[in-house]
Amino acid sequence: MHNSKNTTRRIFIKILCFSVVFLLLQSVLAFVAVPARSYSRLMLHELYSSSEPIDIGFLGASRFFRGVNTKEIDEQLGINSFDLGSSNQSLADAYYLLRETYRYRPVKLLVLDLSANRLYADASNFSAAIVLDYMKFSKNKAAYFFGAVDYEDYFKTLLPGLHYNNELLSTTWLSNAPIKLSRAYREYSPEVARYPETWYSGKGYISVSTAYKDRNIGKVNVAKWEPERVSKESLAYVEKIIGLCRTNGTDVICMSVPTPMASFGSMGNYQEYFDYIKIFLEQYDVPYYNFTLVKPSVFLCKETNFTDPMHLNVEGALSFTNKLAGFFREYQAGTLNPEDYFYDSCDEMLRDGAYVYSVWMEPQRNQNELTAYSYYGTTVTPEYAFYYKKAGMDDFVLYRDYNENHNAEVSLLDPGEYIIRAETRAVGSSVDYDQYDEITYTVK
Amino acid sequence: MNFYVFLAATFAAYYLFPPRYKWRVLLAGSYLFYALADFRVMYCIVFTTITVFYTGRMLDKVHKKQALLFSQKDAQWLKENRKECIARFTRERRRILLAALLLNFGILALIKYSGFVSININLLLGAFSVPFQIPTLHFLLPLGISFYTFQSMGYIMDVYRGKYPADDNLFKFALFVSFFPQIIQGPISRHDQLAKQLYEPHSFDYTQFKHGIELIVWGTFKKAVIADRAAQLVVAVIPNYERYPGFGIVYAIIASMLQVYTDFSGGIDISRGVAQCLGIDMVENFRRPYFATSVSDYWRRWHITLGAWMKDYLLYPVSLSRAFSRLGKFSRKHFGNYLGKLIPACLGMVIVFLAVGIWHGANWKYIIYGLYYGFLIVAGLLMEPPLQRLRKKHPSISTDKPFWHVFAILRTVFLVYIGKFFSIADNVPEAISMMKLSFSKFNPQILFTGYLADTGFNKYQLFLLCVSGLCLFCVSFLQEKGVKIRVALDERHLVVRWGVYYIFLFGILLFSVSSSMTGGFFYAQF
Repeated sequence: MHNSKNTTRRIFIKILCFSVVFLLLQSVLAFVAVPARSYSRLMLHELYSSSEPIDIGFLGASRFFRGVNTKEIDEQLGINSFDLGSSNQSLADAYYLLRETYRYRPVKLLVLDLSANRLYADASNFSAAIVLDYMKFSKNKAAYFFGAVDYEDYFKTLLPGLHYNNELLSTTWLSNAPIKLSRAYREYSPEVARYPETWYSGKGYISVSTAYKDRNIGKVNVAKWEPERVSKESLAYVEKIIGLCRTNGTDVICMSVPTPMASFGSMGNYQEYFDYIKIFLEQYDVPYYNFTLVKPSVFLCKETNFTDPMHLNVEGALSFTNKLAGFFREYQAGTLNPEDYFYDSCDEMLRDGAYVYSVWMEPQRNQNELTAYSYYGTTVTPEYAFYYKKAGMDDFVLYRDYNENHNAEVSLLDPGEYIIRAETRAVGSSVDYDQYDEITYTVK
Repeated sequence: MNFYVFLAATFAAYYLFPPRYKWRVLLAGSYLFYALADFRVMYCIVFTTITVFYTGRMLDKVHKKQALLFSQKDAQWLKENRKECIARFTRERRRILLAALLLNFGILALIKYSGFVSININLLLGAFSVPFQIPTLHFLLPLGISFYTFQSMGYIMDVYRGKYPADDNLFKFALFVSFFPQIIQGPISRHDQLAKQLYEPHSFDYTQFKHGIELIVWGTFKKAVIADRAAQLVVAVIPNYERYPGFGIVYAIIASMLQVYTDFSGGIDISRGVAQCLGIDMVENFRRPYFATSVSDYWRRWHITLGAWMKDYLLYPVSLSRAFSRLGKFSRKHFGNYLGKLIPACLGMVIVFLAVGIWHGANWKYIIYGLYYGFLIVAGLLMEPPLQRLRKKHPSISTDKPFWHVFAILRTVFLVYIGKFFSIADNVPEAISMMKLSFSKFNPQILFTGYLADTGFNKYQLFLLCVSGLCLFCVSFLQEKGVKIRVALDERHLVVRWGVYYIFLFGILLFSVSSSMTGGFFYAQF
């Protein structure tokens, strides 16, 4: 009996020691692997640091926190706005982040992002981990963990060292420890989270300086809207967010930030998505303002305003925010007329976009031809011209002038490596080109 | 995660309950596990359990009746009537056995193969312009139906042969059929090896439990880190194989070989580990098949319990059947002694591998896959005597040399690689087209140039797969050399031991691929 008790005690001590060492190793891993340049950490710290009411709170994922310059809004309207964004933020994340905000600060107007992928069932679960890592301990944090994290991911979410595995084989982890040991990190200086092209500008807004080369947006692949993928859980969270706002006396609207025309065209069925959201929100009497359908007279969506097919860059965010400030001024004054800002439908917008808004080339399987593909407005027929440039040449040489055939038989060129350029415009247009694409191609 | 919570609860319940309730805990756990997987198809396992249990009891009664009769009669009577009596009892037993086989293989055939059969009959009818089509039935495939049906049929055939008496407790027998660690993908256990262990209570044994956990961790590593990672390349390339001529396909096939092995053997390791934690020793199902030196050796190492089942319950009965003995006589008469012996043996092999192919699924590709191995083994049998003669003539050709051993391993791996085309493609023409395309280009560098990056299989994934694959190779190599890894680990210093544990634990936690991307266990579909 005595012996058996001793054995049991020994086993328990072993398990305990094993667990303690495991947790220690996990902490070391977390210190090394969890990125020091975390925007969520800075955003939450800023949120917690003040008790001042938020006049306009923006609740969304990267399209929001890169697309709306909160400092500019504040300057133009003389208010206090805040971007409550986090990477890949799901609607569950949004709900718990809003609850967290209410614990510290009241919100007067909430602007909720309702992008298509936020409504899907397979929205990222990992998005909760990167917020939970920096959230203060509270009942809300526990509710967030149990409410938004998949049962399967409990372990990984709970232990920060385990959810940044990709970092371990990259070199970024080498810089994490020195940054974390620095005073600037302890003092939450935005400088520690600065990358050459991306940085935290304060109030939840993140600036990205890269841009598409002018009129060379290339091929854009935006997945079609799939209503069957919408999860009931996500819709329930929208309802919860609206309910939470109303309980706290917050006005709520939904909004989408602008998207390049090429992305919009690539999606193929954007109108269906737009109608779905509008009908869904009508039952809660929440207006939906979709700046993807913004009129060019209000905000011209230039490719150079975007950093990728979905996100505005610093320049685009500034121009867009300027217009958005005017929009909110009218909204708060009660003088807003949506017709001044938005097209009624995608068709109307595509009819108005009487030009080609992206082009890209792909070699044919037989390798003799290059084919140019494009997205263009519904009233337009595109035409294509092809140019080539060999190593050592300064300028492009016209290979085939504009016509409606989108194939170029490049095998007629002498063997060698070329840069092939395709230019495209609407038939009847007098501009040199609307869009272009260039690829390196070897003629054998 | 759910599975591991379920395991923890089952382990706790098993060791906390008094000894006489332990097997009941396992039965409840097994049925709960099955119900959680899909309660809608539970009727199948219940049906198999009941029919096999009662036919087993009936067979037992016949055995007992025969024994009783023989013990009561005198020597004179036995001398006159023994043969006739045995024949009568055998006929009776055979009828019962046939009923059990028909009922259970019938339900397996109906659920798993009726769609395939009706589609092919309809194609045939269409080809002959018959204006009639058989309706195609679709059933939900019960979890592990092939595994538990084969296990139960093995039991009933053993009882028929009088190898052991039938089980006398329906619920205990239900545990033998449904024991949860083996229900997903085997191994196909034997009653005389497993049942007694299941019914006996086991008290907690720290070393056994630790070894069980080690096996679970190793199995999880194989499945979650290696198999699911290799599967990413397979699922991206194979459906679009035309886009990846040459080594794109070659790498995907190699990845698939690794995937299926680590998925299946990893799952079996988890099953065996779970059983070992409960004090139950389950049979081995894999013995490092990629170290095999011939195709028949490969099948002695791969899915061992299926091979053994086929040997005991198909090959032997077929070989000893009247038709085969007639074929043997006929062959010896017409082709001489050597070929006369070989022809029935070869035909038996082809039949066995045809059955192995059919076991894998209702598709022509599996039938071709089975026949491919059947013919390879037959070719091996036919080639053996001339090769022996050659070796006698040229004693310098020694099969004991390491070079020959490595060559034989590589040759077997290559033959398995070719067979893989048949099992991985959707159909036979696609397998052939895939094979042709794989030889169309010599571009081995694409693995490192980022050409496959659009499949999601980037350099990071490649690096992880190589490191984990190397780890698998080292462990397998040591095992092949006779090292008992877990025992050897026990003998190491605690720091070394724990170091190994942490490496694997963190390896799994950090580098496992979510199964939602690749599906569950590969062999669960069989």
